[in-house]
Amino acid sequence: MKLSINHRPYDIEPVPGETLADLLRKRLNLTGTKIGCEEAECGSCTVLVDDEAVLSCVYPAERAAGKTVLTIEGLSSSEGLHPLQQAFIEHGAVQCGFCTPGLIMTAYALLRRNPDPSEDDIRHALKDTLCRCGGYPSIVRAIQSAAHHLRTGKPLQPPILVKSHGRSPLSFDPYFLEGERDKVGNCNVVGTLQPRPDATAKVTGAAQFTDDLTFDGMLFAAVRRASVPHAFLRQLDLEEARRIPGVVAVLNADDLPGAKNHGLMIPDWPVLVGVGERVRYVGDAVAIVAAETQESAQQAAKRIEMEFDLQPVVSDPVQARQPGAPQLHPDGNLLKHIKVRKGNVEQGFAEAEVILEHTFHTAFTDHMFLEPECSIAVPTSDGRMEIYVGSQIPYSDRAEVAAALGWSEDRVRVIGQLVGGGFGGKEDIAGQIHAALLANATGRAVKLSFDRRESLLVHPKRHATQIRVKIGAKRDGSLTAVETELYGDTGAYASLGEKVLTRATTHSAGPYEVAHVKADCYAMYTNNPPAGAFRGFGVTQSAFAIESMMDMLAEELCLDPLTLRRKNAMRVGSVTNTGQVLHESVGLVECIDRVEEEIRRLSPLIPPNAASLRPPFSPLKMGRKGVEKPEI
Amino acid sequence: MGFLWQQYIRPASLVEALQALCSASGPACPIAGGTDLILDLRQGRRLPVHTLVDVSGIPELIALEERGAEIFIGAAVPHNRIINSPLVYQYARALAEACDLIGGPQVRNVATLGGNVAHALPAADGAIALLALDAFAVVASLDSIQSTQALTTSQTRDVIMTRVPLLNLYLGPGKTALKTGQLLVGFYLPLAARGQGSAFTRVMRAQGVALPVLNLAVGLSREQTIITDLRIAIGPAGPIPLRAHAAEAVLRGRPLTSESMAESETALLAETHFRTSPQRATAGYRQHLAGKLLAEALYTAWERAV
Amino acid sequence: MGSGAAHNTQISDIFPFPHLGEGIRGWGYPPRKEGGGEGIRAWGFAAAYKNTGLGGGAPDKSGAEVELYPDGRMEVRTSAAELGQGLVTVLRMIVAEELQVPPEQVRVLVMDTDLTPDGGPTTASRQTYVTGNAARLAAQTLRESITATLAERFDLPPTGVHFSEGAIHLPGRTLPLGQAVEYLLAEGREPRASYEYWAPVTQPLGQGGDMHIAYSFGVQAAEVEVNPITGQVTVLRVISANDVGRAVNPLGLQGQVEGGVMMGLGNALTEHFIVEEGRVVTDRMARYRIPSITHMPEIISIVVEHPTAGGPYGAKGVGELVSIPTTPAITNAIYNATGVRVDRLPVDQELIAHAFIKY
Repeated sequence: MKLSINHRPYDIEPVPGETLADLLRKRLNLTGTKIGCEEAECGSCTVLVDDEAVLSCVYPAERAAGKTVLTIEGLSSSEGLHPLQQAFIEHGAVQCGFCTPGLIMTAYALLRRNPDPSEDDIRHALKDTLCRCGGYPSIVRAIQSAAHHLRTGKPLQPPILVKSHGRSPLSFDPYFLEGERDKVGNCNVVGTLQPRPDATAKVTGAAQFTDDLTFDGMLFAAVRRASVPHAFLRQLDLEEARRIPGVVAVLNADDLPGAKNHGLMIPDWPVLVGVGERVRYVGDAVAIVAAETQESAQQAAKRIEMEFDLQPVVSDPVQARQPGAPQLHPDGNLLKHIKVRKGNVEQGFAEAEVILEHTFHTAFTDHMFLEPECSIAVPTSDGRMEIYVGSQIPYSDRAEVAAALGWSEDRVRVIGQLVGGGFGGKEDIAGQIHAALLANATGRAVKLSFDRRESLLVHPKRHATQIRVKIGAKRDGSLTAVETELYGDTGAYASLGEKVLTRATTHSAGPYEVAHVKADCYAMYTNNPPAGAFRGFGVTQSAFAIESMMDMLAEELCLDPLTLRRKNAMRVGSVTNTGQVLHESVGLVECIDRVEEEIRRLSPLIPPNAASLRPPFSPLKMGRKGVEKPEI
Repeated sequence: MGFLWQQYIRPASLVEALQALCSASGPACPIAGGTDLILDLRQGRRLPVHTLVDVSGIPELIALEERGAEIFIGAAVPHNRIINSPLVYQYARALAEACDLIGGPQVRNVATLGGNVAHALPAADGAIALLALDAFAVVASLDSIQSTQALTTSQTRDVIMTRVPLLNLYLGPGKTALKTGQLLVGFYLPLAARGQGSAFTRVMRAQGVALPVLNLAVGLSREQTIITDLRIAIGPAGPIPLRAHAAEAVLRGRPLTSESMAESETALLAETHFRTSPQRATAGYRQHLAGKLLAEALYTAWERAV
Repeated sequence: MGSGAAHNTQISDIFPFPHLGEGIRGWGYPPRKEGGGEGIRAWGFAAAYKNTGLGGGAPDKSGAEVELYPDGRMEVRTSAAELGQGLVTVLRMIVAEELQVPPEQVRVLVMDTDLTPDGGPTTASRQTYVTGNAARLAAQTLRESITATLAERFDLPPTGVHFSEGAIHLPGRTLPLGQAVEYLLAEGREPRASYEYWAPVTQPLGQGGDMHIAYSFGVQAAEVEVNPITGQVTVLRVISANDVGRAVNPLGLQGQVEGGVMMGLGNALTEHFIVEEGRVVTDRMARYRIPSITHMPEIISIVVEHPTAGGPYGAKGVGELVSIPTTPAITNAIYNATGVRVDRLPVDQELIAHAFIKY
């Protein structure tokens, strides 16, 4: 079939089942177009066909015959970057860079039709081109700036940043060398507007993520996962899988040369679950396959037969703590009981004039970084193993891979690739060990690439929690006691659960100085997917609880929410609930002041000391069928 | 082995497409935008196919034009063309509104109304709008659809076009009545110079799958203040898109007042049996919204019917 | 309004809320009219803090190496991972600042266990502080080495050697920075320096003392609009003030603030990973909604700087803090707008709609 791609003619033999994304990425090595989901949901794979934006992951390649295709690689010219690319760089609209090609192509398609888009037009056009690093306002400004330049020929408008506030002098600085104190105030580079060093590669599609790489003779891996939440593996049959044409290796727990488990803090996570061993969540790996093509590896994985003795499921942390609950680990279901104690809460509540108590629940959430996990293991001629992976902890990966291979660490080299979003979800081992085992067994490079489904099933989540808060205060708003009981669902394996829930517990009384604090957290194993690091690291959950309580308390005391915060806010000299004296660098009150200033500037109708931050003219009245009618 | 399709054909004419569907050496199905179909194949909701017959180049299927007292919209017209069509905007506004909500801009550049209907989901936005607009579907087949004989190129067969009421295409949720060898050609919508208006509305849940909590479309004709004809389509209210006949009957021949609207809402709630969709919407929520969505759509369609 | 409704009845009495579902009003975003609008509006407020660094007694260290090349370019190397948060920009800026060279002259190499020293995990909002210090101190060490070498060579006191604009200024002569390489090599010194920086020691939980090396503080206010019939919540504006110690990379910081608000918004309103009896229901991206540009509120970022002595130029961590107060700011705003206390995440619009049905 003949078609034009990036202004060049191509004559290509069609291949069964090939999407346009496959053609571009795998056959033509135009890897600027990214695969984020293969579900037509994320827009990372957006290219232009005959000047219209389409999702190449669901666009059959043969449909493009006779058409003109434009990808991110075709956008810049010999004269340099397209204004959209330049504007994205200058406005800081590029972060991890994975969504960037899709975003730029979608924006390009918009500007072709509408050279003067409003913000609403931009929202509409980019509705299904997602960015998880989330700098949408910067993206909008970049597009508007590029549009303006294209319309008027004037130079790209530079970004405008808010000037910072409240620089207070350092009270003491033993770490700065003599004569450098004024440098803190007078820097030439630090504190100025600088573009990213990798921004150009990201906006042109030249930036490579792990799945963009290929190696000679590279095999493709697939993982057979348990798909049952709690069971003992009784039987495993690999024969049919081995017979699939193109399969080079099938490994199970009997083939593990080194450590049987991995884990960032506690090695309680099996590399592969063996016969007679316990499956603790649906994503537990039972066997791994390496084959000449992705399709044959997946076919083979599906043909692996497993038989289980199903066990009763522990599905939430409160249940996990009940006597009689199935015990998921040798030491039981309690990963850790975390305690914070300050003062004496009995006394604190006795001193309180108001006491409130409430229980909150937060759900599991997923990082949903746009780049699904991908690892490539490459055995070298000198007996080492190279791991190509986008990881948050290269040295830790090295240690875990080496341990699983039974090798010393210096035989493994982790060559970290660009990370298409992490947020804590790429700290645990994903495919690094499995790829290395297969590469070691076959002597060939092996790529293990998760699709979005596997990514969702496998990698640790944000802990679901149940948080009960009891808060005591005087009528003037000063907090006397905060008592918290947290249950955290750390799922099947420890991951970083202990650290996350420690953070949740130590931060559970909020950024306030409270004389009496008692917090207890039960980090519980369950048969849910493991929970681990996710931006916020436990404080996301406990802040929701305590900050809701603070507003409830403010209402009870007839104080406005800002006054209550200000009254109790940590300041220089405050003692935290773990006994730390804050000697310096506590800008909380200033933050409260600046936010209040801004609220009042934006919504001048809110009176000072509003018990509720909403205009006082109570816009609603009762109407027909209880629908309140606006009255302005 | 493991490929989503083996053969991809792009016929230039309707008869070629039908012949390809009948004579493929394995299971065959038509593809237009493919945004649902490819995902169904990839995720195992459909059995693998051997041949995909791409109908996006067939003239009859990509026409969008006035034909006498009707508008014809080809089954392979992408949603974006429908949204930007002055004809549709003027005479079938509900359809423009519905199509503008399907997927996102990239999907709308390739996805089609034919695909929306053939996918046979009970709350498909495009289908709900078509139902309220009193649309008929046109289905094409070769003269004997029972025949599965391979055809030699010298044999020509006649194409038969049949008008089919839209709901006849639905057997159940996700089950189309279209058989192999049949092809959806397009949709006819009646066109009136005056006194007709339509509106589409839907409510989504903030989390989870992008399927509607409720969608609803109204097509209304009136003379002065009297409603002369009315069609109300709502989903998901059953295994297939629903025409709310009782609610319609209440208003036919009457003006739109708060009393008549309230009666229509009551009738709507009596004839619909909403179910709870786990993690999406409870039956109670749907009941709560249905009357209000009806009111909003009626009110708007009324205003537009000048 | 056409030929009008039936006699004596205003259409607006029949249906007082013109904007209910999507579709009819097209797609648009609710207009931000002060005191007006089609739903109920209110602000909500929340404050939070977050540690910088591992803390709790865990050794928190990072290694960085800085090298100068004869053509004047530099390279800073560490295994610390860049995730999009802008660490590579920060490292480049710090080294450029320490040696007073244009930032474009500084290359950054990260994440290779053969070629880069261990920078520790990219977690706990630690990298700007810990690896930033390692890079700063490595750069300083190199600068001091160059200073000492040239001072000896040209018989000057160290104060006679100044770095500025990619060059080294001595009394009576100016050398391009790259030329320092030959002087170093002539003295048997390498044109590179590495530094393993150890953050101040912290105490494990339960032992008092300093559990963390620093804390950042963040306050957010969110203005929401709630549709009382459907219970749907739109976030119109978010004000986010963050004490970051020192904004080393303001453009990157802005991206973090924006992305943090979006993630917090998702955490409150759109994201739900559902597992039932151990079986994952949310096994497709189609089933997990992350905020798109259509959810984007106006985001007003206010940078507050109360420097911490131990951080590079006073900087503390910020990556996580910016996403934390958003959720309670939104749920508190929902309460202020509707009287419905959301105590379970994500927000269930049915709960809010139900509260209004009772009236």
